[in-house]
Amino acid sequence: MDFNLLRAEELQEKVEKKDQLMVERVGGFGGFGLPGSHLKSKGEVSISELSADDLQTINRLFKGDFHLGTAMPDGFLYRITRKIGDDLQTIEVPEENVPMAIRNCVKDTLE
Amino acid sequence: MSCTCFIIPKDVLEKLAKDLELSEELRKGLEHAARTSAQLRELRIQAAELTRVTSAFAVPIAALAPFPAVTVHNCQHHQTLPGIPVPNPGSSTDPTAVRTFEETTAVADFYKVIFNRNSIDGAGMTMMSSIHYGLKYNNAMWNGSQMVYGDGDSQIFIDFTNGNDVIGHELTHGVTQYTLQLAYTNDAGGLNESLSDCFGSMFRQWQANQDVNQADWLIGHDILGPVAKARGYTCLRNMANPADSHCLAPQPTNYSQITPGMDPHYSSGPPNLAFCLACKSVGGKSWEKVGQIWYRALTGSGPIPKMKMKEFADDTRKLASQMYGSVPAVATAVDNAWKQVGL
Repeated sequence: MDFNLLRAEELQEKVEKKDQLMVERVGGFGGFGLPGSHLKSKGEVSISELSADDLQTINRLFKGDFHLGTAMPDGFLYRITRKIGDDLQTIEVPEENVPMAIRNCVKDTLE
Repeated sequence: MSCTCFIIPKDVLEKLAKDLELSEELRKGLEHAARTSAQLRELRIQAAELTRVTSAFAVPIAALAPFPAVTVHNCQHHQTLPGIPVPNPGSSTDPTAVRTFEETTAVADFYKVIFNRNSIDGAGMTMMSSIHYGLKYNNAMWNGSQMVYGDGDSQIFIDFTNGNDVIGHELTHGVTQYTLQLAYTNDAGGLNESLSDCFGSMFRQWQANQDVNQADWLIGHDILGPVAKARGYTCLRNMANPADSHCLAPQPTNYSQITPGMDPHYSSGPPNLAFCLACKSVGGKSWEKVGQIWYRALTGSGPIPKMKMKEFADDTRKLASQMYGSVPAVATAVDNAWKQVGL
């Protein structure tokens, strides 16, 4: 099974169908979302439900306008995916740059 | 107002600052607080950068204090740092504050007594921690200038301050920032994480007065919540067997499994295993010989931000011979341990 292909198709379907931002929180002290890790943290946000400020922030993040700087040891990264035209765009952003509405959409689970 | 606004997240401050139902004076104050919050965040990032640059050229002339001050702040479930200071945290009614104060003080003791190091920077830097960070927050971290602890969600994890290895781990990220200054990507990132696991585990063993065979070598054993335990998980990582199926986040055991871009919590598996194997081969207490070698490798060469795992392994090989020349079994143990993980 091509995991990457499956993941891309799954994302495509969800983003197209729901006009959603797909969010995955990875890393941290526990190692969420790493290969073989049983810890997952995922969520979705409707773009239309974001405040104007949050939407502006998200657009800025997708343009790469955030401080990557010195990565914070054990800090979370947020993998955010959106659809622009026919393309899926995914960015990975340190938590401190992510609006609270996006941070709060993820749910931690044990898989 | 500054005290109240300090614990309100920046985006909430910005929203309130635009609320026309509030007085102009209050809105101006809120806008100022939002800007201050952002500036503080930038300052923190700059502080980490500054550490990197200045410590490459300067040696502390005098220690700030013979023993570091230990402070605790309460984020009250918000995500704005540092939160409100906890007065006299050692005698607080909040068990998390007491535990954080006591264990952080114990880590300072550990570094002082075992490695003759005065705090994170070697010069008495205040050890600052923020507790109750976020809501049901499943994480702990070092943010470049302080420790941050979440309460856990009470399902997968409980309060992260329950793990003395967690506290030792986070503080060691600070020590690494002031010594090797390892980056947080690729080989250097994996080493950075591994050093925090090694010293976090050593601290846990030191507190329990365990030798290398009594130690369980587990990371995160004491912060697992009831749901994780019910499914048979015993830890986040197992330094003695990184691929252990009882780990929530198993790791590779050999350097050949490491590829560029891997998360540091994953690529730290091989160096974690090497440390454990060396300790078990030498015997006794982990901090007595192998721990001393790892500490010298961490602190003895100045900043090497892009250090490769092989470079670190070779440094410990040399140090083992230099420091324990009269006991060749130590150098042999270190050499064999690295070879077993492909380094």
